[in-house]
Amino acid sequence: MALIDIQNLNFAYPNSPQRALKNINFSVEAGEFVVICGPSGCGKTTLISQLKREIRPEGEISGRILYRGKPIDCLSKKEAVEEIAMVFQDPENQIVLDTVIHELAFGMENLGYDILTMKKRIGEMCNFFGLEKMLYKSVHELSGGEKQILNLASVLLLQPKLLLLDEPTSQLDPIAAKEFLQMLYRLNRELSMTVIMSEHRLEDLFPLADKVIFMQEGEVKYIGDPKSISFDILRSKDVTLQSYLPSVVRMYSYLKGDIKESEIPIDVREGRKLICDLIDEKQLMNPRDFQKGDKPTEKPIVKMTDVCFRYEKDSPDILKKLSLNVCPGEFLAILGGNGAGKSTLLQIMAGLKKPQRGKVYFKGQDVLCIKEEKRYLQIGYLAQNPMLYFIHETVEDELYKRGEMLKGKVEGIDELLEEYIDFFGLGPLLKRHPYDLSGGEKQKLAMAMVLLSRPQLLLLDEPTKGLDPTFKISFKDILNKLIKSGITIVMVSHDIEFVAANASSCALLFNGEITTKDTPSNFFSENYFYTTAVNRTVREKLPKAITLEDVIKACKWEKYLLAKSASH
Amino acid sequence: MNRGFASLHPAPCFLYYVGLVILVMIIYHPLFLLLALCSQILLNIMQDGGRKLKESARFYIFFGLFIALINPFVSRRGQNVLFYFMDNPVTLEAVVYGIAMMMSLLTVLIAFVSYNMVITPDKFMFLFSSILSKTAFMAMMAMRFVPVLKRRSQEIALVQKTRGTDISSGTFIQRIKNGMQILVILITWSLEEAIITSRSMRARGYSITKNRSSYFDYKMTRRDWAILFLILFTWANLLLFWYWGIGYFQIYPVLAPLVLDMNTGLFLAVSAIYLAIPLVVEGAEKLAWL
Repeated sequence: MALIDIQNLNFAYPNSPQRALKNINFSVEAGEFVVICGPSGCGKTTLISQLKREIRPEGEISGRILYRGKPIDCLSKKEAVEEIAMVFQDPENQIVLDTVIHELAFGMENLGYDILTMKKRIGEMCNFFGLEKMLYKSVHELSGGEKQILNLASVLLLQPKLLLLDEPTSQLDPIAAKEFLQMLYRLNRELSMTVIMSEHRLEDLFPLADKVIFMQEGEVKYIGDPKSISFDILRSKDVTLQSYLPSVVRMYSYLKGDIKESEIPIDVREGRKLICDLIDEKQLMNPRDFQKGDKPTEKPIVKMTDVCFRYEKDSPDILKKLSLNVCPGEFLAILGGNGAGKSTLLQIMAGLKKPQRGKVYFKGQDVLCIKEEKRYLQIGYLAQNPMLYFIHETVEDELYKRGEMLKGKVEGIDELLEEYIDFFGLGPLLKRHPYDLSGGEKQKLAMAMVLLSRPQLLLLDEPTKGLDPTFKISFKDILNKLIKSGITIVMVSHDIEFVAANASSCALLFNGEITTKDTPSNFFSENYFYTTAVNRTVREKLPKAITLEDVIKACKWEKYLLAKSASH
Repeated sequence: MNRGFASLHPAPCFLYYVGLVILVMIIYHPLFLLLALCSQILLNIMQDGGRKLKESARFYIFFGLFIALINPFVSRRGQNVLFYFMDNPVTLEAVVYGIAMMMSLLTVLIAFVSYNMVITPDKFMFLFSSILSKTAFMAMMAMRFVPVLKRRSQEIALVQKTRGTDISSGTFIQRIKNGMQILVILITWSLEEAIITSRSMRARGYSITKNRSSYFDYKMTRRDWAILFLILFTWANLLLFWYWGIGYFQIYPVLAPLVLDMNTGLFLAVSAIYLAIPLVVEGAEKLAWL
């Protein structure tokens, strides 16, 4: 008997003409690791919350969800809470109480467990997750990754049979995300915990998953194990869907004309063997050598010299004599670990925070000496959370009121408004409330608002965090167009794959200073694990290739050479 | 850190502080107040080296001196006139009363510093959750929000500054307007996020059973019972003494001389025992590590 059996499930939100879920049919066996993926808004979250009775949204529902052969509504209240656990996307807001130990005990206290059971379970769980040291810490002192581990631990204390997770790693940095997934993998393998998880980054999940469900517009499009689903999607020739597949799979399909299902590599290890065989060793050209190495000789637009910063008198230094130059037209990505001070660096660059020592020059002028009003018009700063920008009821008000404020200060503001509404595709959203937009749409709206002042420098704080590949592709086009129009971009990010494919240079912030600044290919190809999956796969043959495009280019060159030598 | 006095069951600790506050409010014997004040300062020093006390010491000294000085200049009661200030008599009685009042208030304030170290919020929760379960839980949840809201408002202020909404510049009215705008964003944003918190609470079964249990459990050990008994016994004795007028020190209308007879001696001895209980508990632990 399957643990979960979903039969002909349909669901529509109230007052919505479209069904959010259409004819969903699948079953999950006990002990399976299931990943649900698809673009945002495809119904992943809706589907997962159907399985958790307490948080099921209101709406019209038809079809059946069976839990161990019984309709899920037949479970008693207590059973439903205990046996099906849920971890949400945002690590911060699902925490209810203020210290770790209280948070852990919360669920068990709700169900009225006796003290002995609680102590035993908490003791055991803390050992498994290594939580002893932070037991009495306030939850604010934890990092995002630690918070998410705490959330996982606190739901596991009820000893659930089924664990539901809604994009649990989308707000975490790559290292914390990998750690979290490892923890899930251990739970699945060692305790045979059934896991159903939604996610759109499949790169790290393919090796763990037993079953992948691909959803689109409320329907299950593809279902199967990682190899068979890759095979189906590759054969479908649907480019959008293919962008969700791990880069190893895409690389394989490119290099190998006739794909075989059993052969499809699902992780770097499998990919390395296979793909290295496919690339002919002879006459390879390093792809990035094609790039023109025109070093910009202009004066830097931003020049930071010996910047030191700390938050309080006695707190540790965040930036230590940091120096950095940004040239006009550059697209610089700043990478670095969690809490390395990347956001602080960006705020100092924007003239929002005053460093204790050192100077920041914007076009040769001390940034703090530029009048505040002018400073923030010339330097556009986009914080991590776009919600901070919204004060009005509709998207339209948000944009036009901002336009009114800028009238007289910025030339041709009316034309610019129309241009950006078009450029960011905000036309259909004008009457919506900004809070009701999806994550990517919010990001675009906030960005349009910042760009209305025609800044010459745009500072972005993790703009791709938690967003799906579809959005990233459109975001990439936006950034490219902005750079062409002469805007310099500095972006702080954890998203290695995005940075590798798009930035013109990368810098690493470590220990309070910029340790290296180089082109993406030089920057990543020298790293051992802090690099793209593509680079890890092909580094033996193509050490400088860091994206799929690089590999394709290199192979085209190779084919070209082969053809040339054949004709001779 | 649950060490020394704080390692006891919360009930005796709580009763000790409550008892102490009652005693220093009703008994105005200068020697008793002096003992009480010294014992609380010493307790603070034993607990954390006086670090917490030092943080607010300046305020306490200022506040104490203010009380001690204001009384003689305001009160005209008493017989022994020391001198005249702006045609108003300043009496010895009023000076002594002012000093007694200062010591009493300082004792309460300083005891509260140590109280905060001993009775942590979860101990308070434990003591009162059976009586005020909902309120105690809400208080715990609210505590999480204080730093969260502080951080969020800083984030909003920073971003809004780039859009010309700044609370640190402009006219007064403009600054209030800007502050309101930040507050509006803070509230809308927080309400939005609170939906997730409530979903997380429901997902973990909040309010499905009536009898929530509590993870925090403190058992009364034999040591706790013994100390509880000692606290209650000495406290009741002191209250009796007070009722019988032993340890009563007459300030108004005429300052009585400070006599140390048998009764007063006994009263001071019992007071010393009561006041020394946490000191002995702390000291015993310190001795064990010498």
